[in-house]
Amino acid sequence: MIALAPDAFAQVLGACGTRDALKPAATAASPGPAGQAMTISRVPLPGEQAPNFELVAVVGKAIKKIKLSDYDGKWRVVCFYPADFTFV
Amino acid sequence: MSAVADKYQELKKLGVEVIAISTDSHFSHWMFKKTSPSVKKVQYPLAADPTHAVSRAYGVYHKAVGMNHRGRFIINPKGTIMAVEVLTGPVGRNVNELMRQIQAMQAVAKNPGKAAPAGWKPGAPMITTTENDIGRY
Repeated sequence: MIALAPDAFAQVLGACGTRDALKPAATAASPGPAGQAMTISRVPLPGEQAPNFELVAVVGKAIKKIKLSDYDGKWRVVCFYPADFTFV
Repeated sequence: MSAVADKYQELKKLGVEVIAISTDSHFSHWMFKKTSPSVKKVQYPLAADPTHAVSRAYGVYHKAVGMNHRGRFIINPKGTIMAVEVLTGPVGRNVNELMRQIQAMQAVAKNPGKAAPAGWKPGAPMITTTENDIGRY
């Protein structure tokens, strides 16, 4: 079981994550809905193949599926961020 | 994100595509883009990962919170990961450093046997990496 830092929420969200009312209901001790896969891979390192994916995306004024492999042959930057409506 | 949008044309010139991913739905992304003045101008895809599958595969999903760390992966044309940065949420990224790293990687790719030393910037000399160079820098 992973020990969670008490300020885990704040670390991801910033100042707004420090409010008590926003503390997560599910913790590692009570991990949310049963059957939900909770496996997290380690961060892939330089030299490893980037995991391919297909996701629904907002692109310009369209909503469409995109794959990482759509951009094979180009340099790519994949940026993960906590949530919409936070600074990104 | 808007910092990346500001530099998007420069990134395009370098042949770079950007994909941003959060665990929000595409509905949320749609409204975020519609309502946020800084995100309106974003031209690159905002991808939705509501099942967290992709965020987990990249190891950046924070399960206590249900959101992602600020993880950034530079991927080369062959699909190989070249650089990884994972930042704590309250700290933003630096697009200039992102571009510098990509330019250095592109320069190394174009000049086999050469390296971009610490603090290298486009136009600066690259260094050779032969036996004679061991201990030189």
